Parts: sequence; C-alpha cells; structure tokens
Amino acid sequence: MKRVGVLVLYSVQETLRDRLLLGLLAAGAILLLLVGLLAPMTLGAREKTFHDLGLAWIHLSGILILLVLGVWTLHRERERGIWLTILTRPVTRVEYVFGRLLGLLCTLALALLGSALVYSIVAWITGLGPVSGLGISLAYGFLEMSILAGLIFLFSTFSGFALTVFLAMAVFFAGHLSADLLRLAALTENPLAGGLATVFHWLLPHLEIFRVRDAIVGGAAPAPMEVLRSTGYALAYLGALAAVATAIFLRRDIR
Amino acid sequence: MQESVALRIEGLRKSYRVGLRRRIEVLRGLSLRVERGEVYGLLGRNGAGKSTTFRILMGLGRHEAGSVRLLGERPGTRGVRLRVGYCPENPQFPPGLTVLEVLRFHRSLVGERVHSPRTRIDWLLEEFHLDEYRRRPVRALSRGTIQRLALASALMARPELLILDEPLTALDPLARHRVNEILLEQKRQGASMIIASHILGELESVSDRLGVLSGGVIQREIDLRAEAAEAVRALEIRVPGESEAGIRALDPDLAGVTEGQAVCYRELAFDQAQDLLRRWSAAGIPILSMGPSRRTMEAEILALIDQPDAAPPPPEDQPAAPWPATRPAPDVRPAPEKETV
Repeated sequence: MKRVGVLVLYSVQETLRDRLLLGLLAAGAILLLLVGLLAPMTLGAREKTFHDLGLAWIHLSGILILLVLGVWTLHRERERGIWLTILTRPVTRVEYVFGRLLGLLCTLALALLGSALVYSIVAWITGLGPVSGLGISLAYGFLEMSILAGLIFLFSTFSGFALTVFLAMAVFFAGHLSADLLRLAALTENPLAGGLATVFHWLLPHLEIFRVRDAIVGGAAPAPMEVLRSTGYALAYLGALAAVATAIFLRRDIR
Repeated sequence: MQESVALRIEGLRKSYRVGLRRRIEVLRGLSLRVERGEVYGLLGRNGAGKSTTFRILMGLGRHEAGSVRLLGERPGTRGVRLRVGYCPENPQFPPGLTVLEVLRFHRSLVGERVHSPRTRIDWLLEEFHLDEYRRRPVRALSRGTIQRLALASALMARPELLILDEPLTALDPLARHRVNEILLEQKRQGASMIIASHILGELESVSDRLGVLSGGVIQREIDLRAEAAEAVRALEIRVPGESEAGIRALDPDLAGVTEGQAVCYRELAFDQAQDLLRRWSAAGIPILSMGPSRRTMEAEILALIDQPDAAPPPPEDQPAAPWPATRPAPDVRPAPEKETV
C-alpha cells in the first residue's frame, strides 16, 4: 500500500508541474470574467447563463486535463521508457496500475477543485455568488470523469497516444447515448441488431446518470439514494476497467 | 545459506513477433553465470540481445524457454528487485521532477533497504557529482547527467547485484572515470555486476570476465584476470611511423600495425622484445613506448562481435567455448584506432 501511495504522490507531482494546468485555470477565469462582464447580452438570463457556462467549464476542464495531461503523461512514460526505472524497483505491476490510476484521479480531483475555486471567485467578483449545489455537481462530474480516466488507462495499456484519445472519447460519447441503445433494441424488429444494441447498452458506461448540471442550475438536486446508486455504479465500473487494464498489463512485455 | 552464484541463466530463448506471422529469435539458448563479487561484461553489437536479456532479468519481459535465477530467486519478485540495481540503456525520468525529487521517489520505493535515507541521497549526489543539479528539473539536464542520475538511483538500495545496460555511453571522459571508480568501489564492497556494452574499452577496465553475445548465445567467454597474467608474457613496442622503413630494413619479417602517427609491433616474446629494443636503439630508431600486448584479444573480440546474428549457435547442451589457452596468431585485420565497435 505504501508504494501505491508513493506512486499516487509522484503522479500528482508530475502532472502539477505541467504548465497546462495553470493555463487551463487562467483561461477559465478569463472566460467567466467575460461572461460576467458581458451580462447585458444575456437578455435577463445573466445568472443562469453564468452558472451554466461556469459548470460546463469546470466539466470541460476536467475532460481536457484527463485527455491532454493524463493521456500524455501515461504515453510519455511508456514511449520514453520512464516506466523502466519505476517497474524495476520493488513495485508490482498491480501496484503500478493502481498507483497511476489513483494518481490520475487525484489530479482530476485537484483540477476540478481548482476550476471550482476559480468559478467561485469570479462568481463573487461579479456579485452573483456560486450556484447552490456546486458540491454535488462537482462530485457527479468527478464520478463521470473517473470512468473516463479508467477508459484512458485501459486503452493506454495497449494503444498509443492518438488511438487512446480516440477510443476514450468514442466510448465517452457513446456512454452518453447508452440509454438510447436500449430504446433502439426495443424498437427494432431485427433480433440480431436488438441483441447487439442490448449488449452494447450494458457494456458501455451509463454516463447520463451523472448529468445533473442542468437540474442544479434549475435549483433541483438529486435524492440521496440516487447519489448512492450513482457512486456505487461509478466505483463498480471503474473497478472493472482497472481489473481489465491490470490483466492486460500483466501480460505485456515492457520495453 | 547464501547462493554462491549471483546470476545464473540457462538456455534462455526469446523471440519477437515482426508483422503478423514472422518472428525474430533474439536469444537462442543463452547461458551464462556471474559469481558473487564478480563483474561480467556482456559485449555484443547493437541488436545482439543484451537489453532483451536484461529486461528478462528484471522481470519486464517474458522468455519462451530456459531458466533465470538472480541471487537464487526468480526474476521480477519484490525481494529480488530490492536486492538488484538496474540502469536501463538511455534512461529517462519525468521531465518536470528535479534531481532531488527523482532520488527521493526512488528512495521511497526501496525504503526498507535505506536505513539513513537523507545521508544516502547526499552521498549519491556527491559521488555522482550531481550536487549542483539537485534543484534542477530533469528536462534541463544533459544526457550525461541523466545517465549519472540513473546510476545513482540504481545504487540507492545498496544492491547486491547491479545490472547496467550501456552505463557509460553518454558520459564525458571525466564522468566515465568517476563512474568507473564508483563501480570498482562497489565491486570491492562485494557487489556483483553484469554490464552490457558494445564498447570493449568500457568493459575492460572493470570486468573480471567478458562474454561475447552473438547469434543469440555467448560465443566466447574471456577471463580478463587470466588474460592480464598472460599479457605480461607478450609485449608490444610502439615507434614513430617514419621509422617503419628503417625497421623493415633491420627486420624484414616483422609486421607492424599502423596506429595514427605510430606503428605498433605486437605479440613479441619477452626475449625478442628485449633484443629488438637493443638493436633498434643502437640503430637510432626512437621508441615511443613498450608494454603488455593486449591488441590481439581486441582484434579477436571484434571479429567475434562482427559475426552476423544468423551465425549458428553452439548446441544448447554445450557451454560457450572458453577463450583458447594458446591464442592463435593475430588477425590480419588491423585493429581500429578507436575501441568503438
């Protein structure tokens, strides 16, 4: 466990050194300030527009951090052979997978918190204040993106930078449409197509259950049972992804 | 009871898939052993399979046949990795971390083997001349400094066995000398080592034995300790290039090898060398140097390394041929000026 902790700290430290993280936070602050200042153009929906954009930006910054920093650092570690100096220490491959994955999740959490802080500061500066339910929105965003992190980790065990980004984004977007696949299976008269649609529905992550931003901006919040169910689902799906990634990683030659 | 052999490889086979169906066999039954406290130099051209062997030793790659034991254990276990230090070829570290952070990270991974971590890190920084770079990020370091950092982190846990892949390649002469000294000190303290290189000169100064890896097997093993004893029986005399004509007139049967501005007469028996020295001095031929003759070995090693990889390996049950006790006459091929193969 100690070595997993060391790898988590190392992963976070490595990512935080990247200037991209600061760049993203600065870009978000500028964007939100502009939205706050250009309030007259929102035709009376200033507050809703600001919160919509603010929460969307927090969400987007998480995705960008994962796709750019997450995939890039993992890819760089493999391509340049940095992992040779790590995996020849007394670290098992399972510890490595969990350490790096948890490190990626910690970086994601920090990026989301940083973005939320920037959003809150700008919200206070513009006199609007942050939306109530920001914490729930952050938690749901984190759960959704944890699954994206798991996908990235899984695909990076057997593919290069571009293919990892492509596959992760493809599954991520398809995951938002997985409920439609079940509807398609019910509508279609072709049993093969229906069967395939059902299989894909269960294989793909159900990411729409994490989409609570609109409800939160509208003043609603998910029920506690709903929160528990979503958390359980995210953890189970992430665990399955980590298990598959570990199984692949255990079999491969490290070069 | 402590295992007397630090490293034992028997019948190791490894191939890589190239394309859909084709496979290239890199190791074809490699066998070697490194005794405790011994330094084994593994010599071979690029692509001979040195790095592949080391990756298998460290549990990074799987082999198809054969057995490997490091300090009596299977490769890749946590226990063996605590006791083995490894430096890969062309090592890399996260570019954003500083030298100190990299060493702290590696210390944390081998924590139980480092009793006074701060002192150990300070010692490594000092020994490898890294002190002035301790706060500098890896991205701002030269390749040679990164190489020294990799060697320092390999020594972090006071390893009993060191596996070093081209450890001196990127180093300047001063750093090379320093690292050689550190490796010899490790040897004096009882550490065993296997060092891969394609540069003979790198290995000669620290190794007890050399193995020439070609065609996926050890083609020859050379005991450098025995060679050193043998060398005093054969001498070489070096004279300026312009004296060659004069020597040809005196000793028409003697053939020299041109080395830059000088000509070297090798493999001379002790009495013969004394006689030549006396007669040449009397004839006014200037002598640049006289010393033990080592170049025959180099020429033969070069010839072995130069063999194509497809050369048929010896049968699996037959160990690599030892270096011949009576060495044959030197190859007619002139020895290169540089020791780089």
